[in-house]
Amino acid sequence: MKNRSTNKKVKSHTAANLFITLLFVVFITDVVTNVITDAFRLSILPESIVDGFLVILLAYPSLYMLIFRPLSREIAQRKATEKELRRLAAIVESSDDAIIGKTLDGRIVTWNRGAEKIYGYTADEIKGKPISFLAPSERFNEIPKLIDKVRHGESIEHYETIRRRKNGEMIDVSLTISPIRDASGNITGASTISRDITEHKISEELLRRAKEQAELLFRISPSAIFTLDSKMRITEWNDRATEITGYSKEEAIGKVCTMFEAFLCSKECAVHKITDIKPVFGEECPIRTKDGRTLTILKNTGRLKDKNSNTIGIIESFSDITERTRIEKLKDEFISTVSHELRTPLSITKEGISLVLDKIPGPVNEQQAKILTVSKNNVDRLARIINSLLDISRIESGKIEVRKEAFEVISVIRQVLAAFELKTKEKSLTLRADLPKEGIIIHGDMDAITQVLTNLIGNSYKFTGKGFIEVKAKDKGDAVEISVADTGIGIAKENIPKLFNKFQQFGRVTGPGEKGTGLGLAIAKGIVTAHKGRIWAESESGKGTKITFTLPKI
Amino acid sequence: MAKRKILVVDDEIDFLEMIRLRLEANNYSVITAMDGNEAIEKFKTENPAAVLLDILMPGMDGLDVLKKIRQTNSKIPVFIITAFSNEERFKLANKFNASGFIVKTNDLQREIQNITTAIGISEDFKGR
Repeated sequence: MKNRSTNKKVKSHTAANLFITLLFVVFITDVVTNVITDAFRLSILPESIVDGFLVILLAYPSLYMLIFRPLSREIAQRKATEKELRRLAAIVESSDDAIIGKTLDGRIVTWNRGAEKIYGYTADEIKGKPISFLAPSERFNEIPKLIDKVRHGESIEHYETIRRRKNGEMIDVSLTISPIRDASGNITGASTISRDITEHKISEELLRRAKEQAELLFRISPSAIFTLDSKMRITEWNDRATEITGYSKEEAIGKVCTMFEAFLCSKECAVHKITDIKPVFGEECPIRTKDGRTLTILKNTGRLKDKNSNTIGIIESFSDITERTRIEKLKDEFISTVSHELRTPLSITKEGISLVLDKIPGPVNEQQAKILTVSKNNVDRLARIINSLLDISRIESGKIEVRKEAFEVISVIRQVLAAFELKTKEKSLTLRADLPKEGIIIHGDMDAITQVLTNLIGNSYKFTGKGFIEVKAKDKGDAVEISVADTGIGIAKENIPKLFNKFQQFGRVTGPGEKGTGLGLAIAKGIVTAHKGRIWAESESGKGTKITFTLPKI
Repeated sequence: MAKRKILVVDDEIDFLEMIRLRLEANNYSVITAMDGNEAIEKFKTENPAAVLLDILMPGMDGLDVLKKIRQTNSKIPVFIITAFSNEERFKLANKFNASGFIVKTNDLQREIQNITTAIGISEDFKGR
């Protein structure tokens, strides 16, 4: 576009020149013709001169080429230079950097809009002021030194310092100072380009802190941490990794992790394409140490990515859980054995009492029967505690088996309700149900869900003296939501968070009836969680409790 | 009609005594064995109507006994006595065609009613 308009202007120049030339030619031709004609009339000119006139006429185009063309070209050039200067001035003016011109004694002579933006002063406010005006007092000293360098023809590049804005705010700036020379090469002043690098400095500081934190974490972490590059070579290896595996940093770094014999659990390393690796979380696997021991580790991994989200490496963190695993196994075995050993004498005692109560060996009087009934109830309670303990220990060790079988949950609710019907009637409680008419098929462990419902309704039964127990179920699309609400003693607000903890019993019931184990809700939570559902409680002391849980359908 | 004989196998003598009393009260005659070998022996000589078999015993355990019994008699009701209601061993016992389970801590009177039903079914079957 610019070129075309320039061409147009050049053309119009040429037209003007041509016109002037024509006028000139007409004038000259007229004068010369008159002179020649007069001379001819006076017979002072020979005929050959008349021929010369024709020569002049013919010579004119050469004259034009020699004089007018260069003249017009020079004018055009001067105009272009002026334009270029205006363009440069516009660039200076629109620059985000401050561009400041100053004399050799440090007085500000030019001040662009960038300068105004960075320092806050307008050109009118600042022109004529010394450049030290912009420096905080502790930086005054550097100014004469800088100017001195420029005076000697030196340029200063990216000099980082601090300057003060009009509002008093300190800013980090990077200065590039160059001498300004006149046409004959004498230094007459200096130009300063200053860039606000405050943001840059802040991000630099944040980066430094992040790096320091990462390095510190790497050093002090109680877990082993190491990194791998895209070719699965170990690139970093912390002290804890050395402590656990026995391999020093020097031994580990640079090794390809598939070759690294410490890692039997090479789920990561077995994959050759790093992009195929899925991060793992909480994976347990065995490793072999340098001295040949096998340890169990718990590891997490994550991908290291470049700015385009391409995987460029792996970071892995692991801790030695050998001892923990051993103790857990011991605990499980212990609980399993103990509960088995406890059950046999318990069952014998219970059966002995039952035989007497059933009058098989002979008659029993009323008082004896009463005593034996209490004994039997407490033996039952012991059996329940043992069962619950075993359940909770299975749940806690993650060994709860959730068989995923399709079953219809509404009919299961109805069955559990039927089991409570008589008991609630005896206590004059209303047992209400608000269930969908259509059955809901879910995938899960029917026995375990029956236990959850039994525990929840059992709790309501235990803690409700009068009023009702209401069981509701709702189809929530991909899940079913079941709640058990009662008008019982309720739970104090501060106790709600502790409700699902083990051995928490709020509002222990005195008097006859089944005693709790303090494990019912912990077990319920364990089962619901193992089904990937949620369980929560709403309650108010004296008004009742509502426990709700969800179960995903699949 | 002669009382039906039930063979009860358990290494716990006190338990044997209790279940004997309970079974006798239900009009059964009871033979007891305290280990696997004794159980096989008595199974052959006494010709019981049903067997109640503890699964955890030293020496030949309940599963081995069940296997041996099934080799000679596939129809006789054999109930597994256990302290737990949900064990891996249950599945195994099912594989060898156990008729049912007696959970030690449950109400034995109710468990024995199940046994009676099973014996009835097995005898009906024999009668045909």
